[in-house]
Amino acid sequence: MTNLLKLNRRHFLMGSGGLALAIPTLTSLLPRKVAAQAAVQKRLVAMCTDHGGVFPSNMYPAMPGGAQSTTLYAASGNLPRHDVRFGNLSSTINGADRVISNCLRAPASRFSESLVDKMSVMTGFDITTYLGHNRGAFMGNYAANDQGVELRGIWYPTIDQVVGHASGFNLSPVRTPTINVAKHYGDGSDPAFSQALDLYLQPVQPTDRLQPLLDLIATDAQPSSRPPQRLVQRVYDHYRGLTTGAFGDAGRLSREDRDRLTRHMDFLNAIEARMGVQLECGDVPAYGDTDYTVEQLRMAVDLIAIALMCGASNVAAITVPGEQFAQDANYTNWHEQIAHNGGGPEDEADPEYQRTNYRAHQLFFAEVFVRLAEHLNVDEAPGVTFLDNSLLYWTMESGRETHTNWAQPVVTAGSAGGFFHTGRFIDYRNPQSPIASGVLFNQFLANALQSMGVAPADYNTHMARAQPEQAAAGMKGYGAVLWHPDDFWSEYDIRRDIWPERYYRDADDLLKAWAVGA
Amino acid sequence: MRACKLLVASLMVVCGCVGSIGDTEGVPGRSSLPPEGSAELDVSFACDPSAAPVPTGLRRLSKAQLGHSVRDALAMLVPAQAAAIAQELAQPLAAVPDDVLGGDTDYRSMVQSLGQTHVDAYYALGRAFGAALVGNATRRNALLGACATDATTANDSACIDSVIRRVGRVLFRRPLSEPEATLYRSIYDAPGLDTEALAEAMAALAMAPPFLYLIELGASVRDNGQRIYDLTPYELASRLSYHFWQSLPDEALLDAAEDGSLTTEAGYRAQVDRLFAAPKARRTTEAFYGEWLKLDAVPAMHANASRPDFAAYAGADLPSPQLRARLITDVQDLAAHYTFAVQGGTLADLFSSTASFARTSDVAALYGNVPLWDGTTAPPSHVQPERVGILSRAAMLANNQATTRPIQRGVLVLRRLLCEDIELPENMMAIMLELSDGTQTTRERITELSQAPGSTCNGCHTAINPLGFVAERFDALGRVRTSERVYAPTGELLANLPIDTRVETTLDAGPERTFDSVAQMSQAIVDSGRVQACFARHYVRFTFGRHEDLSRDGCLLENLRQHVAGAGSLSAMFKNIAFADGFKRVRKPE
Repeated sequence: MTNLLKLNRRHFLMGSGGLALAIPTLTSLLPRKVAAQAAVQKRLVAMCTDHGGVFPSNMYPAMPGGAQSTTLYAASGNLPRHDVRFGNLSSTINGADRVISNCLRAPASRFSESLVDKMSVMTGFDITTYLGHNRGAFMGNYAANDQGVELRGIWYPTIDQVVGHASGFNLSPVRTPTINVAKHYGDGSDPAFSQALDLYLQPVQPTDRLQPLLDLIATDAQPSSRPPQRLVQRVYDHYRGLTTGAFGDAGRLSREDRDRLTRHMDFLNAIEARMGVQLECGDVPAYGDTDYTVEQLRMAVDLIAIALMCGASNVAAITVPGEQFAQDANYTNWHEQIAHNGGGPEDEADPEYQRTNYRAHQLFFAEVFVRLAEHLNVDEAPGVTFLDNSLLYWTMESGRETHTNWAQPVVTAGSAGGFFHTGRFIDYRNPQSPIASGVLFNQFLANALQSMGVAPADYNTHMARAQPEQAAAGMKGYGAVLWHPDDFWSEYDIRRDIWPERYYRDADDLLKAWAVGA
Repeated sequence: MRACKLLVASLMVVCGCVGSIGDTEGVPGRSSLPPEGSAELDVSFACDPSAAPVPTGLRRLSKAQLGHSVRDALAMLVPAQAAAIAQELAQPLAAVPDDVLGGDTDYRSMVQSLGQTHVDAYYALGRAFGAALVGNATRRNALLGACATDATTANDSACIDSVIRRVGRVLFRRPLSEPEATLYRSIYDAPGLDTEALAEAMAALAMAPPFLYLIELGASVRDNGQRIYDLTPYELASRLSYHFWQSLPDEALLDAAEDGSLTTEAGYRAQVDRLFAAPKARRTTEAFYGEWLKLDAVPAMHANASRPDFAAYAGADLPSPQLRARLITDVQDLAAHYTFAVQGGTLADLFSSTASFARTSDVAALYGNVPLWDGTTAPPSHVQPERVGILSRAAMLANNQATTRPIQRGVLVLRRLLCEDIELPENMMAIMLELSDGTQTTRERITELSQAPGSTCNGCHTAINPLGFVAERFDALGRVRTSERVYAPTGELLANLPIDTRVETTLDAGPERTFDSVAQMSQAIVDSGRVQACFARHYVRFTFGRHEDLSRDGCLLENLRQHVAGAGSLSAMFKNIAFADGFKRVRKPE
């Protein structure tokens, strides 16, 4: 099958340091086929920066006057009442920059007020156990971590995999279910990913190079007189013939052998399906295929924008080390001085190093998050931009302190087709909690999945497989269910006082203040 | 608020006992060590000849095996063009996902995950293989032979049939069955000699299951109730070649399978001797030694060369980007020397050798300017009396910090040489040492933090630490030292402290003993008998790609252990596994 997604375009120059890329902008020239679809094609982009440890005072704006609150949980027994507070997200102009907070700041020439209106800034998403360094938590696979020992065997596919392979998500064939531009995520450096990959896939290799992205959006070469599908079909025939006995005694294959061959055939099918996709994504500059620098990450962002808009994929993940965006040279060892000494605990951190830390994250915000959001903030259909139909979110490896995963910051852009409110600052932290705990990061992920059209019944299958006891006990949401041993926070009984089970039981619920239907 | 605070620095201990903090390799604690005199100290294995073999399922080639197989296949099919084609295939081979270790998989052969990225890479590799193989007239003619260039077209079809069968025999490690030949012939649907069609047929063969997977369906039924089958001669040839070469059989081995000589005792022995004597055997033992001794974990020595403290620490020995590979080669040369060059070289030799294999001046400098080895003649002796055995070699000692890592050194000995099953604890606390103020040695700081009486850290670190402390005679670059120099991050020398390498520990069922040097500890490790048993276990993991099953592999393990115990030689052990009873059979899982 051939599916032609044509992206005519007009060029504009965007870049710095002599780098420029032409990417599409004008509504009138955008793919009619996409716009004409009855259903809206949604897109998901997950972003994560290493470490975290940006203090709330640098990460978030002040809660505006006139903020509202709504109750998540009433007080019950010894459990305190839990309200969510939210208000309009606003920005100011400071010099050449538009500023939401110290960390959420970008040149006003690129960071428009319109974009602020399409963003949300949220705090108070918690992972209820200790991960330390991790590489997939931002998308729901907590297993790939360095210090959360108990989690290593509890792997969930990352949500880009779940979304990318959800039936009905990709409304047209795509070249790849997910784009993976990553320094860490999914690079096979942890068996938690290898195992997850048994079921799910990452057709674009996790890459810190540009070439796979260029390949992804390359216009097909002259069509061959020999359709490549035919070759795949013949190879498929051999695999299938093994299981049916056409090439030997199939009775000597074990059940596991057959499953393995079947899985291989599934992957061949995916290759064949991709062959039907032809793209015309426009002229793409010939980049050198060298390791990512900040400059090249800008190029990668541009290429991702093109890939998302011309239908090469509808899902992407981007992770980068914070140090890559360092703006200061006041350190010799990023990990020890900046991420740790500068990343918390808040009452012990070196203020200078904290500044270096948040400034690195700020540069990521400006050069990756805002850049991608603005690229996508062009009309896909009259009055509706690609960004409007997307959910872009950025979080960090850790929360407000390096190595801890509570109070994860989440910055979003796009409403996922009207699924979410935008233009809000939302604080899920509960001042009544002894550690200002919030709601579960699992619930955030579940909301993200639902916004992409993945029903809870579909993603809940992963808990049923990975944690059947928890699933049977009525736990919901996406991601492992595990409380840290109680002595981690020695003063508290985590189960009873901090994250009682009700948070997990309700983790499929739409988040009040953020989701429109909540 | 937290029970165990995370402190920041370049050293780390773990309590409770456990993992790691920071960007360092995980350092596990263990739930419990076998008590003194415990029968859990494996020094031999119980052999039950009636035990059924461990079931063996379909296995995909490891990334290394795939690379070797492609290159060796090219050498068999188009010898004169093989090198150039292999160069062209380097990129698609590199794109095959790495077999990444972790969890239960401590050898790459154990990694059997299969994802879209694998199949995508196999597809790309197959296409590249087919295109390269017939990419120009020289290659096509080399592959097809005279029928490609003669004047007649009448033999074109037979020519294509022939090449499909020839390439199939090499890649599938056996002749194509008739249904297979028909299938692949159907891909070539063009009249005459068509390059594109031929490339597709070749590509398809390289994507086929008999190439990418080790398929052992077996021949006659030995015990149908347990699904145990003798391997076919071709399957046996394949098992031998992947065992000794990590690659597919060569023509001689395929011929031996075809003419039946492989199934004779003399013919089989001749092939085993031939395979082990071939240069390709060394890449297999190198892979094993490298994984067994965790040589991949040797850090990039030059990574911190710009840090003032490390630069001051290293002095004239500031590592170059090449040093890491050279140190690994140094250890590999030592292992290969006693495996291949020295007749009857033993496992004990690895732990007692004073021979030096430094080939370059930077490595020689770390060893006190030992004479360089030329790589072929007898190696010179080390000039430093502390250089006894493999544990005194720089690759086993070095890191890229300005301080030693005794815990990592101790964990390596426990896990890889003594097969201590160090388990990660349920609850974890991790403590990183603060930057040194120069008042304490590394040993003193680690002891204070991890071995406080009654602390949760003490149980594990009492066993781990001595095995690392005894190597404190060597600094963080693997140089012999008499004192510990402590530097501030600025590079300022804070102190020059006396070192203490005396430890008391036990490596066997006996009482604690005192050691003062790596040489003494190495001898004790050999004398304990545990390293021989551990070596056998690790080799089974490596070569069969699975964990040993003590109830079913007992005979095999004991056989291997006996070959490396006492005067048994390493070469005999590596070869002998091919004569183990289970080697020629397969038990299929349900």
